[in-house]
Amino acid sequence: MTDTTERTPLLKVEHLSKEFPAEAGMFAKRFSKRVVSAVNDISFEIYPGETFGLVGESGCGKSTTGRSIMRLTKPTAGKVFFEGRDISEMNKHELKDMRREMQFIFQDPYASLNPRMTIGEIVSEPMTIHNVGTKEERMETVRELLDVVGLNPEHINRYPHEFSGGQRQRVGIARAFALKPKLIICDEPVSALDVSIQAQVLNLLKDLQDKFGTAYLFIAHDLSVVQHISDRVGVMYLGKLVELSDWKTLYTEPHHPYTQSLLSAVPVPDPDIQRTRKRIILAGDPPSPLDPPSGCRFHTRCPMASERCSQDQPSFNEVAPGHFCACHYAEPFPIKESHIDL
Amino acid sequence: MKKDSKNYVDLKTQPIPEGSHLLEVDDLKMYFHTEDGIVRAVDGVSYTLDRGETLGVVGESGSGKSVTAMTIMGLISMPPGKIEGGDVRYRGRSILEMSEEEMQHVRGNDIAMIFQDPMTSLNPVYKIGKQVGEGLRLHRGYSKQEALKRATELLDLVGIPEPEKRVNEYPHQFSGGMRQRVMIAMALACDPDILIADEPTTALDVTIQAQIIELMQEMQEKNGNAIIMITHDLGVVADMADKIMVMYAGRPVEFGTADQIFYESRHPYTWGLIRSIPEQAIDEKKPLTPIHGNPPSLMNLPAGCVFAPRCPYATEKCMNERPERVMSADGHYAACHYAADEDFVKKNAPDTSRSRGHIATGQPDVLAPELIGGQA
Repeated sequence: MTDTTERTPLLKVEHLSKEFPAEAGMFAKRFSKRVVSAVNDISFEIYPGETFGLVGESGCGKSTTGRSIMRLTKPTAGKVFFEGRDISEMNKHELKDMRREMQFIFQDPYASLNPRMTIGEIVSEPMTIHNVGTKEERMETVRELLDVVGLNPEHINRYPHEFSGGQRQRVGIARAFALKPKLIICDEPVSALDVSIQAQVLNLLKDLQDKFGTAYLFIAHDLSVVQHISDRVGVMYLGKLVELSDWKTLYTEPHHPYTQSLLSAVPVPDPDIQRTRKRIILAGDPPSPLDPPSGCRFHTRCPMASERCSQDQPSFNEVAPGHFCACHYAEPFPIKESHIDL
Repeated sequence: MKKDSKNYVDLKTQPIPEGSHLLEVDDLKMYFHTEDGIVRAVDGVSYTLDRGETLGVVGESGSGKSVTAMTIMGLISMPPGKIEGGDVRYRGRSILEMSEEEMQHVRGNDIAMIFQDPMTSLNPVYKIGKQVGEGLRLHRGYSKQEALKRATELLDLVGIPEPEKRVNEYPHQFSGGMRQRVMIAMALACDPDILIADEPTTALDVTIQAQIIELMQEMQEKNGNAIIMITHDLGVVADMADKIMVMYAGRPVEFGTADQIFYESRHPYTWGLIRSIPEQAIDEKKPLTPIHGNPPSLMNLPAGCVFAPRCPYATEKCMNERPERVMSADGHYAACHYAADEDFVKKNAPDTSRSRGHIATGQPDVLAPELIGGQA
């Protein structure tokens, strides 16, 4: 994780921005002056075989980032390089080829599977689209995949409604792995599941990664889940990446006040710790992305904001090797002491 | 038109009879009779609650946590629901025997509820002030002006800025966290004895969740009400609860104080839940140990222990015999045949911060491979 400078990135996101027109309608794109700045100038890299976690609260732009990388929505500015090729410039055919290497796992296991298709059809569809193998070979692969994700291969002709939430998510995972992609974007893959099932799916994703060497972009709002699965983690607030580092540094020495308060807001399932630990409770709601605050976007809720924060936008600086933070007053926060030794 | 408030007794002001608790749920059974069969949604739930206490009810979806609360509130339509046994006593009076009219006085006035989804539980066509003051008009006979004035105070109390302006706004003008604050203001309007909160923070972001939990605790300190906190998040109950009931497939599998559940739990399902949560590990990541399989259908429960098909320690006896509750002197109980077996508990219970003496050693805490539960 620390030797990231040596390796070539699989995915490189450079100054990516995505704005949506605030008014709907035919001419909105051309004439609308008000825009929702969902993602604003973010950059990061994902290396082969690693898991990059992206956390943040609802509306911070983490899903839009995932969708822009996949070109499910066209970025307003910035570039996305996949294996050195610029995705934002690709035409339809090039995109189709590229998507063989990049797949998606969706949040809602109920809405993301077509209720009229059998499990076999769903899982084999990516192979059908990309003309992989004969029909028999595809079905054979589907059976193997179902087995790998922990479903009974004999259920190949069943329909999604016959499965529970956790099992459906396994079907979605099997589909994402059908083409053995190099990168899978997981958008909140476990947030709709119960804890015991969530743990099953997280373990499965880890096993599959070990087996196929796939890289994940893991988007979630649950910090403990992201910590568990990720090698490196980026924290987003209101369309901006505010901090990025390897998981351990981020969770033990968060520099950005937002990361610090986010971590301290997560209730720990241990009454002894919970009763004694110090917490920073942020006041108010996140501001609207329609009209983001000037300067640092977090300054309206930040416990340590100064005059400067409301005017100057902090740059995304490297505070330690591989550890980036966008704050004028970035300082290590020894979470270990404040959480436990109190 | 002032409502005549003399035609019923305000239960809140009644003394709690000697030897009883504020709320006693005693072997409550609530089944739904559907065309496909009987759904045993709540099957023998028992607990007691006193003023100032917080009870956390934990379990996965479909474990009967919400139905238990709805039964207490008299919000289950019958049929298809039917109470098959047990009792719920509030200040010594059976709630289940009350008439609908009496229940109307209890709901909102004595026992109030906060629902999970703040987006759908407010009426979109009425102003916030009217909705918050509705209970006061109904139960206390407040006039429109009085109710609005009190609603403004309540909004201020729950930390909504500019309450004078906000009372005249509609729900869509509020954010999710603010709506949940409105729900809390509404629930606390009549100063209830018991506040039932059904997953009040599940739809909210963590920073907002922390605000709401803090608010509920502050209000409890001020008013001395009891809270029943229904959640699937063990972190939230660790934060709030004095007592915890763990539910599985409509049954309470373990009940005890927060410390007993987190540090001295005796039921394999509780262990499974604890092992399933990613720990905020500081040194090394521990692998998760999920509970295998899926929860059973409530229509077709296993003959023996309901958890047996997924339990890694299940024996022949577990498959065939329903376990009785093993109760210890201090009220801690677990519905497991082996809960009284000290060696079994010691050998299989998960590591906790207390048993380790300190936190997050990074010692692997995984089940032996031969101890993997079957499929449900």
